Amino acid sequence: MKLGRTPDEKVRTPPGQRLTRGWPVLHAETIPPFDESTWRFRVFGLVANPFELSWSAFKGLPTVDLTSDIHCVTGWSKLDNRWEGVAFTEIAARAQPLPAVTHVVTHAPSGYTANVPLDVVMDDDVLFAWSHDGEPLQPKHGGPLRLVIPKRYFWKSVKWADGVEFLDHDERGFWEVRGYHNDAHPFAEERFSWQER
Amino acid sequence: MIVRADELVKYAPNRDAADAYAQARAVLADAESAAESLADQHVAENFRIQIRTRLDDIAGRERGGLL
Repeated sequence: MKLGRTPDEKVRTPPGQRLTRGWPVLHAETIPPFDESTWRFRVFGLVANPFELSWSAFKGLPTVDLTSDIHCVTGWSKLDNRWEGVAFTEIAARAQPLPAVTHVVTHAPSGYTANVPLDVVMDDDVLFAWSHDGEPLQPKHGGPLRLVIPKRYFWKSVKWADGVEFLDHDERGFWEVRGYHNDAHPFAEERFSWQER
Repeated sequence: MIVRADELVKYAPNRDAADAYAQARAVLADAESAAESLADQHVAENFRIQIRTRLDDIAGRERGGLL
């Protein structure tokens, strides 16, 4: 459905995007099965304290409730999404990244990955979310847990996240090696890798 | 055309996936033909690599892999 935009919506909608109130389902992977008893979230790489969390342990971490906008590289944006989950900074504080860390790669069971600089995920609007608009995050949208990085195109917000790796170098993720932009700023319309030149 | 193929794959969960993959393959075949006509062989080879990667991805999905 095409929507008229209020002045506020115009400011918040990046160039080349259209607003939707629905939530399109897009992904390149098969939805992985979720078993609460065997699910593990792994934090590894260049950290002083690598660790793994069970689902109950993850849900036991301090939670945040954040509202942010989604911008998909395919051209749709969805405003005012309310997320509940664990702030990325909470995970980082427990892991204690070494001073050499510059980048983070988030992993999914399929082997899907997405990369971002450390400072991007240390922003206070970044979280691992298990709830959207007050409901458990549906599997088709990345449930039980997905990363949410509002200031980047949404492919960086890895669905079905089950691990995060801290690195001292950049390592392009699934779409980044397939010709999509490494930085992916929606308001700069950084969609494709040829724009990096 | 490559972006169109990506969108067909990404929207596959909403429709008949086999049909979506067949359409993506057809679009990639067109892209491959278009790459052949490029004068810059370096650019053409980059496109061919991107196309082959996507064809491999689709084959993997059809074999039942997660990706």
